[in-house]
Amino acid sequence: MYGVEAISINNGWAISVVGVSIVFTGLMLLSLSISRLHKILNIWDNRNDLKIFRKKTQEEPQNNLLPFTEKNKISAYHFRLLIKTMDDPFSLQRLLYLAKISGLDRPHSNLCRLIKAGIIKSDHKGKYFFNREAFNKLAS
Amino acid sequence: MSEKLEILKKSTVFSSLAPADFKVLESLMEKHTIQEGETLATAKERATRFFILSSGTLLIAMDEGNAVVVDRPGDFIGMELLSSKGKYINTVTALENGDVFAIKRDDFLDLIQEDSLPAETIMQHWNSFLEEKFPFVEQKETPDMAYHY
Repeated sequence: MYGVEAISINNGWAISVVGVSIVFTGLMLLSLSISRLHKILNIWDNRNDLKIFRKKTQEEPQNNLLPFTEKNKISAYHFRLLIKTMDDPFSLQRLLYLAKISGLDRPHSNLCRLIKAGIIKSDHKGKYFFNREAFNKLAS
Repeated sequence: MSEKLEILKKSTVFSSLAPADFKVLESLMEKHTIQEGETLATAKERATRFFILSSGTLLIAMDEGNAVVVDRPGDFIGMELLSSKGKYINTVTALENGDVFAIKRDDFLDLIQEDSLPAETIMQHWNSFLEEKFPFVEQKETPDMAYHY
């Protein structure tokens, strides 16, 4: 048996249809992925904006920016003593004034360091409070 | 891109302006280097300049012991945050070294008093900036800006 008859008897038509479908599906998927490639590359380029990548990149600079030397720790301790004498929440400008008249070393930049480290935090109403947890972690 | 333009584009208040308006603002900006402890504006003195922060950290000391700290490049320290009726109402002190761009108060008020799109954009974003960052600062209605600021 030869020719078209042989093809029909051995399910040749069905097999060829399946084969063609597989090849075309493959080609369609390939062309779709190539047409979307620029979007995938765009996501990869902006991966720092994605939440799953953001956590690491945000935590690292905080630690890098705020190394507390022994001198910084002593300064933080002095500020803490001053804050203890004040109301809670306290006035930041009053704290700066007290730091100046107490003769603390570089009161402005040391106060700034405490704010940036989150040891002194805003109550968003114009006053500030002392964050004991951050102090214990960074400056004690 | 110039340093001035870079800062304006980072600013919540000014970033939405058109390129031509950036040029006008840039022409009004003067760069000043600030040292920690330096006072940029003193309450009750004549208000001459507003400021756009470029780098560093500023403390704005207000009435009743209130204070805010600004440290984002592009933050604008002006209008009701700084002055009223031609006088500074708050004291601005640098907490660390950095740079600010000063804009003469009169020049800035001339700019925003014009009934134009950039003036509207600036005021709209300024109000949002105040509400978001300084909710306790009283915002003013502005029938006569020169009088109010």
